[in-house]
Amino acid sequence: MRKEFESMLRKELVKLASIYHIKNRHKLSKSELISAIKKAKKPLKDIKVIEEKVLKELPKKYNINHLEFAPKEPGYAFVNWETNESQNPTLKIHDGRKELLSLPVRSSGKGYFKVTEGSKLKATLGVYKGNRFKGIVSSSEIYFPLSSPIMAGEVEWVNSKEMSKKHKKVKETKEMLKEKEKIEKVAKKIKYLRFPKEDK
Amino acid sequence: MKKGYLALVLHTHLPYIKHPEEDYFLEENWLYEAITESYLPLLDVFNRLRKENVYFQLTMSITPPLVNMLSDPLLLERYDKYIRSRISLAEEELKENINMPKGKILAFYQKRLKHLYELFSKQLNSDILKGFKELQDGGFLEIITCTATHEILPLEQNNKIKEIQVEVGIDTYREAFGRNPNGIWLGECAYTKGLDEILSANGILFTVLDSHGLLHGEPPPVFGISAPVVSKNGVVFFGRDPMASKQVWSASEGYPGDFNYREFYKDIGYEISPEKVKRYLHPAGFRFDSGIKLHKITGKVPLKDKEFYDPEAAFETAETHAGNYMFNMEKEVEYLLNIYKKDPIIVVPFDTELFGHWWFEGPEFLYSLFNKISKFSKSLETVSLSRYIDRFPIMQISEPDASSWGEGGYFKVWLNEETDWIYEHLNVLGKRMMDCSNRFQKSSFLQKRLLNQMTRELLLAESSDWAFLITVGTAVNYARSREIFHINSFNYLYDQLINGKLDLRFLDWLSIKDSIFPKINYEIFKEDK
Repeated sequence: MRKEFESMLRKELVKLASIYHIKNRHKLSKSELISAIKKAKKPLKDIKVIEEKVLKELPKKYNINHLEFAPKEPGYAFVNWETNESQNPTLKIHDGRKELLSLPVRSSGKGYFKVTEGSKLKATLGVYKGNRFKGIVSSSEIYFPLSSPIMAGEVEWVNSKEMSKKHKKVKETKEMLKEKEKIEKVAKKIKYLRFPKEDK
Repeated sequence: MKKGYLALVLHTHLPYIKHPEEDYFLEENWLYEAITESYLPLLDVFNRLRKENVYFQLTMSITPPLVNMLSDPLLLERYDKYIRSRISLAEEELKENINMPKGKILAFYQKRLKHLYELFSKQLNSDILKGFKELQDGGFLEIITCTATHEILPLEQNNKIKEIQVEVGIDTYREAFGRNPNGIWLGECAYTKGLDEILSANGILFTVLDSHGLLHGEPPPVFGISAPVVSKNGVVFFGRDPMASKQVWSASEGYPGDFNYREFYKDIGYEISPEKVKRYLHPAGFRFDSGIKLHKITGKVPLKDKEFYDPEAAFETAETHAGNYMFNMEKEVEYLLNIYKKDPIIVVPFDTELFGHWWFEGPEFLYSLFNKISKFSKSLETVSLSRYIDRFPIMQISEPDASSWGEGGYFKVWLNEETDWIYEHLNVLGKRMMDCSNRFQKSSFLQKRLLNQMTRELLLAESSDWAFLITVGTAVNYARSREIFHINSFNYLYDQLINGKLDLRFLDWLSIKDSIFPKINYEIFKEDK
């Protein structure tokens, strides 16, 4: 252990010395610090006890309202929730306008749900007061990835330096405009090769 | 003649592992092995190329946890001890086997380890980051940053925390390399729509995604992955070329499985006497890899039938493979040039530890590849990602899709039935942290220290590594206990803060143990910042 202390910086030893409540630690030399720490080492056992306690168990519940909503893979969402409301809640998945799922659930739980690829969705946990749904906690809007390309959208070309906030704006030179035209020409040709139906 | 570009990207990351409470800690060896087998050998070959005036360029991410570990005095001292113990082991083995067939290989290791130690202790003065920084300053290497603790950002519930992960990554980079990064490596290339806004707001110019992130973009990229695209927020996205990558990383289909190459799974750590294990590896006699491996892959034979390794033959093979790779890349760019008539880029990212740690001859392969391309190739040039953007700034606008480079291409590696328990804690802790940073605006010195340590525990709990290790079944108990430890440490400190009962000794202890981001300030969590 002494060797280990020797490999530490004085600054670190001073920090360590504070754990053992070593007095005048800032005035001690490195070797004095090492000796003092070695003498005072016993209390570290207390910290070990705390550490072991810390390592043991996670809180089973936080007794607060929380909801986690995340994309696992295309078509699958993970939802986890907990509420301290006395009434059993309902879990909803929606896109802001349309409700895709409405499920009575326990006050805490988790599950994987099928969702639409390429959609932006929210999850909300709430309770029904009569016919009225009252949200308790909502996720932010989550995007769910695609498993295959969508062949849509207009092709546009830009000078990336003009778009980046990091770079100062640059004026397009004649060469750049020429290059842009050339790329657009090739791109049109490729698009024709790849998606002949669109160009017919 | 028109050219195509090869952009090698080395992603350099290890989880933050530091255990001052133990003299020897097995998982700390991951860092020491990576330094000995990958980081120093790569610095060595890059410096050789530089001295020989070979033109080469590549991009390399060095993640904040690794930057912190490579700047940690205790870990660097321990590394010094580690490499010296390996030199002593090689020397003792050599003395005992000088006239045996394995004597030649042991002499090779002794010389190599001494050379690497000389590089580490004398040339670099234990400052490995300085070695990479000099290569960046010389224009050979572009170093990019990564999110603070390699978090899977699409799984993060809170936008503010996504921003913090990016900001802390940039701050760490600035501190280590004295400039702002142009690019960022998103932990596991995990991306989802909207992240580009955060990157752009923080001055990030580019990142790398797996191929389907680009190919599923809106609209799909006309040039596929052979040209980057730019999002409306002005972030450039490069796409990984899966075929060009596989040839290099796959042990079954790619180069690393060649029978002449060094066998990874047969190590003298499992063969030497128990006394030597105690003397050189672990005082309690635990056996593990020493890094000294005397055999070659040989063929599909049991470990006991492996033949002795011949470094010369293996390095010749690496040179042949480099030539073959250059030829294949040339053919690919010629094909792409023929179709697209545009300067194509082939982006091939790898984990840095592939070169040297997993594939021992990997650094020599890179040396030969850069050498050959620079001297002999007429159609291929190596390029860093920033340089490519500078040369070819005109790009298609496209919004990439959510993706990662993990198995399956999305997020199931980190979010599955074995690991999904993690995310509710991260969400609650994140909310608590933000709440505290807003509530304790006028905090005392001690409260500040406690809040800063809570920040460190939260960021460490957010590391993607723990979920990854649990899923792939490597060091599962360790990974689970680390995740639990950071969550519980955070909550323990939180309770103290709320109840006004500070346990200083525990805080002091924790600040030595989890000393990542020494300058972190909890105020980054303030929502009105």
